[in-house]
Amino acid sequence: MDHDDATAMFSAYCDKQLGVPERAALDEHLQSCLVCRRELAKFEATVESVHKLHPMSAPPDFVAGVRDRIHKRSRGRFFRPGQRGRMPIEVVSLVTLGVVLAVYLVVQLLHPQLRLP
Amino acid sequence: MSTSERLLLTRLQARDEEAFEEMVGLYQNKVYNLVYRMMGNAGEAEEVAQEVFVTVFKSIDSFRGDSKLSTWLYRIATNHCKNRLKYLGRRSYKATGELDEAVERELQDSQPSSMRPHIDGPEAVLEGLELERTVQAGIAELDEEHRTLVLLRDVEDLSYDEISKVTGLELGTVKSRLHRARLQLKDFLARWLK
Repeated sequence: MDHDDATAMFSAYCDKQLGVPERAALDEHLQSCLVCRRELAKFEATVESVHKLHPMSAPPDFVAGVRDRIHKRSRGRFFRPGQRGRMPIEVVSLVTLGVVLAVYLVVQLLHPQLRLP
Repeated sequence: MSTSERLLLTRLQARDEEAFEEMVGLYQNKVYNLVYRMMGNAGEAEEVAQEVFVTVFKSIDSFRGDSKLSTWLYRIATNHCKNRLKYLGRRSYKATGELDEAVERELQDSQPSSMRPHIDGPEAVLEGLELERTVQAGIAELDEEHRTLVLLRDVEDLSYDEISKVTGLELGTVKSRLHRARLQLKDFLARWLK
């Protein structure tokens, strides 16, 4: 194995993607090659430095910003201000129908003379 | 795709606004972090990341659920970044790798990051900031495709297979281009840190 062969395996080595024979061949080369050992150390440090970048958080008003954009693009159809948690019209209709039916049944029970012919 | 993701998807496709806010809350930091590192600028990152979620809202019906929701989000995010960089490129914008003031403040105020855990005090903070700046500058030097691959693998921790799904590249191409990108970054950091 020469320097180029070894270098070509650095990425897979860092990601633990080398098969057993490839890993053994690279380890054997590294034992006898100071240049490749140094290069691998730099390569690993590079990968590590990206991995350790500070994770950036979205600004606090991010969700509100997205909501506003969709509200504007949909010409007010979605994310209407003050409409959070509003029940869908289908649910409102069903509940209203249930209440009317319940009132009708109670009236029928209490005043059977009012029953429709 | 997990059962909870599938349930969330069903609610999203029914245009459930609360489900959408829940989804944005879940993924906003992942998407923002990726976009910030791609664009190298907080203002652009916020603009692009918000557009990513607008696209998700508009296109949720076209998502069939044959990959993880996050994979689909990353695909939309990387496409938006590419388009925005192309647009800005025509106006001579370049991701410089400079950290914005607001970002520097966040870094200084944040809990000690793993980049500077050894030494306490202002020197350690400055050292961490300098390294952060240098690495970001190195990332900004990579071309868009190489930058995307490094960020998906080394920042977002995606597997080769997931990266292949996000980028649409063959698995072998992902491996070889990621390797080239890391080598380029190594050379940049070696020059910078001399």
